[in-house]
Amino acid sequence: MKDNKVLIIKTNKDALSDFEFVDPIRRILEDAGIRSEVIGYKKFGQVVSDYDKIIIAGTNLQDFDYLNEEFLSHFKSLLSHEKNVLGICSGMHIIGSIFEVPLVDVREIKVKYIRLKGTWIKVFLMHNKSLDYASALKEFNVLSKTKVNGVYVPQVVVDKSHRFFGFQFHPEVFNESLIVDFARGELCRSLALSKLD
Amino acid sequence: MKLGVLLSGGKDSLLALYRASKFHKISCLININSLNQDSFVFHTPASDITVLQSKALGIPLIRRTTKGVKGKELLTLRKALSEAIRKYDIQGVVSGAVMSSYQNIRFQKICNDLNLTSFNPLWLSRPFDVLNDLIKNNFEVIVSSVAAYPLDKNFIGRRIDDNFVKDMRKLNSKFSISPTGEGGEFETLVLDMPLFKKRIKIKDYKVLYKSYSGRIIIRKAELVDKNER
Repeated sequence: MKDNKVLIIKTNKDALSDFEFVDPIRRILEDAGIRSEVIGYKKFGQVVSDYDKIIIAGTNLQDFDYLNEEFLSHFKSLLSHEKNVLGICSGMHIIGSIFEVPLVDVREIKVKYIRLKGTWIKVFLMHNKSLDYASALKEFNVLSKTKVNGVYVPQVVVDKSHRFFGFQFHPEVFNESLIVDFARGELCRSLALSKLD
Repeated sequence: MKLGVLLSGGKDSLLALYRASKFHKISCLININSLNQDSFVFHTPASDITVLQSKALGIPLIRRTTKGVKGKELLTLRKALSEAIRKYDIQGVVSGAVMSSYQNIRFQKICNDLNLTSFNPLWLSRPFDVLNDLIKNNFEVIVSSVAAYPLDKNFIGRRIDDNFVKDMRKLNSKFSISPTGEGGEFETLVLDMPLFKKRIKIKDYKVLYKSYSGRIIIRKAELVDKNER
């Protein structure tokens, strides 16, 4: 198996949140024997080519700093790299912004079951915003969704080129294997072939 | 940012406080004293010790008591946090949640409703990393209660040190005991840590114990100089 190296891009404004949103991902990869490095969003553009996969981590519920234009504009450069990118929660919102998919206010702070690849999986949800479902359908294959007060929330998306993946839930909780599978390239193969259940 | 810390008196909340203090000012402590010893949300044994911990830290404590009725005890927390916002102008709250999504989600919801940033600096930490971090940073932590086989009466009052970690490795592998007591197998209290100006000395206590379930009852404790044993 190829020895993958993963770049974790953090999106949290406050360094105290590293413990909660960045370190768990780093540990999951380390336990699986996968090398990773962590970098802030302003610096990653210069080093992307040194890595095989990229994970954009989430942040806390009250942190919307990642939505500022300067922040988001850095991420457009990811389109020019031939890398697989996984966005988690706010990281998924950033992937949405790369494809100009707007966000809507939808709150889910709970543990829930979603259907993915024909199986119900337990997920940890913690967000105040999500990708607008109708707009997301134009740019992504939406592989799993929930419904909140009549509004559909995309939970798993993959872009049409099968390079950009988004999880609205936090796979660090209950679903560590999804992060490992992504880093090994296995998730990219299996999700690319999936359809919405 | 000014932060409040949810303080149970145990190792997780004080390690979380310690980590958070390296980034922000800790303006107050919040303790919910649940009268329900089986509370799913709040750590109960020896929570009276939080009054001494607050004095040792020199940080004010907001302490509220709840009957611990499921669902209602969180209202007490919500009120206490609202008071912390009014009195100390906190913008964020730190909790010692490690693995419990049940606890984490409930805290996150309340913080989100109150526009407080929630910080969980121990979240998903490896259990032995937590123990080793306590030892490395000279925390004085003892076991304050047990509630699982084969943790017996001798386990109550044990200090978390290298021998404890060694024993925990065996107990974890043979009986699946969580090394941090995450499944409620045991609870702890902190007598000293780097930010305490004085340490807590237990002067008089008794142990209530019956068939692998027991806890320490502290009759008298006081603050003493750090070098006094």
